[in-house]
Amino acid sequence: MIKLFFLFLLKDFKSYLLDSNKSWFAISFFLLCVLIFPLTYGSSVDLLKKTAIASIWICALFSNLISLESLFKEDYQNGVLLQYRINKIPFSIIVITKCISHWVFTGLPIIFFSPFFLIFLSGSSSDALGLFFSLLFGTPLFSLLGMPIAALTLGATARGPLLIFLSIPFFLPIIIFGVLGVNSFNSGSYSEYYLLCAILSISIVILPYITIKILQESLK
Amino acid sequence: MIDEILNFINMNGHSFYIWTAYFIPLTLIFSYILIQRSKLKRMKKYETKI
Amino acid sequence: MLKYFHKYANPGKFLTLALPVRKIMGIVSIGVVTVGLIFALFLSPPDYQQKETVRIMYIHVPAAWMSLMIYAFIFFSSVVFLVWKFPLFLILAKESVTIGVIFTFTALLTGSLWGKPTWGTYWVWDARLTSFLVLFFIYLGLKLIMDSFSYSSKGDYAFGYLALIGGFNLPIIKFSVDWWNTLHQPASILRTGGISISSEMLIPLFLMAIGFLFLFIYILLVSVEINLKKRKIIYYKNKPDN
Repeated sequence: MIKLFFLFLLKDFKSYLLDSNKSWFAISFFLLCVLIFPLTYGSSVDLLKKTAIASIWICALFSNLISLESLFKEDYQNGVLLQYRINKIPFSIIVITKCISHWVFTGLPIIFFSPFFLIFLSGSSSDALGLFFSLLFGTPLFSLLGMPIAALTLGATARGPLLIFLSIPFFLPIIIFGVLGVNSFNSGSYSEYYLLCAILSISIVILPYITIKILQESLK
Repeated sequence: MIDEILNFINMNGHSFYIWTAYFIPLTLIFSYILIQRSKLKRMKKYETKI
Repeated sequence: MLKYFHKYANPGKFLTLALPVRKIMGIVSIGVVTVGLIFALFLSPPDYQQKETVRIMYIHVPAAWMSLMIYAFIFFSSVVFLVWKFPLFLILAKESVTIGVIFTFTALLTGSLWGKPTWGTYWVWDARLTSFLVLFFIYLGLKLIMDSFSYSSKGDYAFGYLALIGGFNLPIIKFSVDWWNTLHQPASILRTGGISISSEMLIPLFLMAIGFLFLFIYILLVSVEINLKKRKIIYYKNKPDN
């Protein structure tokens, strides 16, 4: 079982690394998105300084939304998922490895580059640690919450817009707590971080299970 | 008499808020009821044809 | 109990039960709403603080209750559909979505119209209002996902699971006024320690709430009947020997 798990993880990583489209798409989209904010604010550095954290969170949300579409799509359309089911490979392994690889290639780069982007957007460097931790708890939640919704919309006629419309309401609480957490980080209150951790620990237990159920239903 | 009615409609200067708050939702709900009722009547007619 | 449940989960049996209920509800709901409106607009006294604007409460609060209750109803009927696969519960859940959209919109609109004279703004981004807006978008998402599949059976399960995941929002809405410091006032009726509202205001409030509940049952039964009749017509039209 554990051997199978690592085999699938390796396969997913390879598919991300070999397809340069997939692995670089999220982070390059993030970079492009970040570029928009300084340009639209004109030359007002003050405004940019105040909204730096919010803009990084918005860009993280958008790059996650964009990359969510390819989460199960290829495997579903090629019939690979059906093959897994016929060969009795447990869906828990597939779902968990997909989630981990999706987070590693969309969430993790954003987390590590976020301090640089904060300086790039002329935000104060004292917020960098707070932003790092809020993204560390927030981006796995994006991947986890997006997973069941991506599985739900498999086979829909207009999948992209539907996926974005359905997932934004579920992502809103994470963004709210993430941004609030960074703002209160320097004053020494970590309540939003505890809340994000609590949501994360509940989601890790429940959401993969729901995703497995949905995937099994979508293959009938 | 007319003064009293006008006074009532004016609602202490808050007439706009109160009357729109009652008018728009009630029209929405009752128009939805009317639409569904007419649909049901159409369905019944169609059903008897078959 | 379970025996009756199984018996009336059959669509045909359900219709025989629903027909008299629908007719009674149609008359009673209109009557109760009319009486409630008369109480709300004419007979109830103005509040000593908010003056006449308190009258908006009699439509705002029942609509908000209804939109939460309809979502809970959709949630539980989707669970019943997903676990026991009764098609009737799916139809019940699907047909209540539009009514839920209308009630949620009502609560948001009247809330912002009430906010302007009392708080000074139409909208603030506090916890209760934001979570209610999220509820509105979840309703719209449910409405969208119903018709976006070319094979209906897949859409049925997608609808059920989306309603299931969206249920996380209900406790957030209910407790948002207790967990965060909000501009929206905390619950004054359904709370521990009794009701904190005068009985003269309670009468129109409960009349409107009961009237809206009956209206919801009436519209739901009409919509379910339409849906079942539509299925029947499609079935007879597609029969090979016809």
